[in-house]
Amino acid sequence: MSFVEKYRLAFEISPVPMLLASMSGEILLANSGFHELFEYDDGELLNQTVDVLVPDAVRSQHPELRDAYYRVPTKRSMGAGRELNGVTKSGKIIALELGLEPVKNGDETWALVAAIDIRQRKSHEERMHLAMNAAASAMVMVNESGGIVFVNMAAEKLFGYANGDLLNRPVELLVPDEFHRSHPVYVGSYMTASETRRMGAGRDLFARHRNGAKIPVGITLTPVDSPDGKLVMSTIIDLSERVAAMEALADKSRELEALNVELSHFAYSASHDLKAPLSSIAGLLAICLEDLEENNHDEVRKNLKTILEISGRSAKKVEGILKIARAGHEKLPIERFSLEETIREIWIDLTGGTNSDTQLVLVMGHSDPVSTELGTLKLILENLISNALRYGDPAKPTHEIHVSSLFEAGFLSVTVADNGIGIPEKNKSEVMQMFRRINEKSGDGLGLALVRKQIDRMGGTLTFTSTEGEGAEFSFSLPLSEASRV
Amino acid sequence: MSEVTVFLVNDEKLDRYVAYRRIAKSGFFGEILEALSGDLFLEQFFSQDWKAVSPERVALIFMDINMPGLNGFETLEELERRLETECGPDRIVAIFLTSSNNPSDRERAKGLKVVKGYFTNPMNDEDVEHIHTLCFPKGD
Repeated sequence: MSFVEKYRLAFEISPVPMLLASMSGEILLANSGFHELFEYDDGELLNQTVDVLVPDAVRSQHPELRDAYYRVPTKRSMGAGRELNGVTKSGKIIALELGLEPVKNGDETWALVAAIDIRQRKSHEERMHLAMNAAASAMVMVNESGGIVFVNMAAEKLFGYANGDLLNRPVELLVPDEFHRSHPVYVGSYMTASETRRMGAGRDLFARHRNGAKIPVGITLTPVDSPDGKLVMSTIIDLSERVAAMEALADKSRELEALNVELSHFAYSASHDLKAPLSSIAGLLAICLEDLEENNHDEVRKNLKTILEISGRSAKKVEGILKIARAGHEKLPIERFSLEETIREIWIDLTGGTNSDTQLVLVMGHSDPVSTELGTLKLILENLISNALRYGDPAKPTHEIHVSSLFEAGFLSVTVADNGIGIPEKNKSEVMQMFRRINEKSGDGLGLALVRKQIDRMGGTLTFTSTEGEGAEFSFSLPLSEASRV
Repeated sequence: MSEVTVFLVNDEKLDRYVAYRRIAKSGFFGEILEALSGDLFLEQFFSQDWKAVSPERVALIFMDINMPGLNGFETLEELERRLETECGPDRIVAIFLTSSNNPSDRERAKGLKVVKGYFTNPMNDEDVEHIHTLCFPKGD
């Protein structure tokens, strides 16, 4: 019995397609399963070369590869790790897994080839990949050693990689730099005790984009058992939009809070500052009526003049408050005006002009007129001067308020200093907080908060220094545009 | 007979003027003294000669709340404290007269013994009459 005959029987009863080839590639034996797989009639393949079974694309290299095998014949699966295709008689390409075994026959070494049709498995895989590519979530499949075995299109897009770039690369490529060392340890421990769970339990998770940027993500891990070993499927949800939306919401809420403060300030101002002059007017008018009856015309004339002044100032004040309320956090119109005059007007408005026991000292180091938001500047100065007035120190013989100005490097700086009671050290950090009223002299606790907000908005700064018992000094500086210089 | 000395404490000249005219018109009271701060008022108050036995001496104080230096509350607290050791009138009627209608201010005013009323500017003639009756609670 020839060497070939020895194998024939075994071939015929084997359900696995099998083939025996010589060193030169001649097909010595092929069972019916093999013929069927490659769509040949039984026996048709005998004496042909194996190269007819190799697709055109690689056929020219095949004899070379075959020679290499015979030089170092070992038992191995062919095309390990690679996709291997065969071609049928009709030219159809079929996916295969091949087993190769060297067989000694005297001086010659023949090759025993077992072929397994993996077309179905392949098409399953393809269908699965298609489905995963259709998914909106990013998916990354990782093997036991942390290598990426599959990424879907959503993942490639999310992480900024081109098609196939991530295959066989370590998954740490997608992990923020600070976790590069620890991540393989996590992978290892997940592989030994795997269950479906969220990654990073309760922590904010980030993935690494190709450009190094950190992407906020949510990740679910699922263990997958496959013929190639244990795999882990990570489903990754991009939270960038959600995080951005949450931040936008927080911004909105801060904005609303600030608007609320302005509204409270407006209500307080309306009830207090606007009611007081009306009360004065009502009181004076009652007196005028009485004086008219007694023909005390001089007194009537004097009081009516006062009433006119008060109502004029109040009307202006209403206008100013409405302007602020309407403008909210938006810009007010830029006007050209004399800062010194504005300060004097505010002074008269706050002190009633004639009756003040407090001295105003003005030291103007800039040149008028200036161009900026008049309404905002008024609001700032009114608050600072009114504070300086309110916190006078009765223990001192005179209460003085110094307002000085300076124009330097495009910035207008104004300092309002008083020799009042000053700010206790312990209260200094609270001075600018909303609703913080340091003592009974404090207003609604909004003034300085509003002032700071306006100054911030205009790109300026507000600072203060104070020694308790000696006075306080508030300084602010605002950028004046180039065009506004005189 | 009793003699009512009126103290007008307010840093605003205008408010003092309106109140002064209203009080003077009523003719109910005696001398009207003005002070533009809590400290000045306290000085004024304790430099009065309260020792004279007759007639009965009453101090009617119109107190503003928001003032530079001591505010109205602090001024009256200081007044109460000093009265424990210093000589004062037979009766003190302190009235808050202010443009603040703040509920928390009204509440705080109740905590002071000497305070008998809380009025918002401007006072009218009825207010003054009402205050007058507060000065003589037993109708004497």
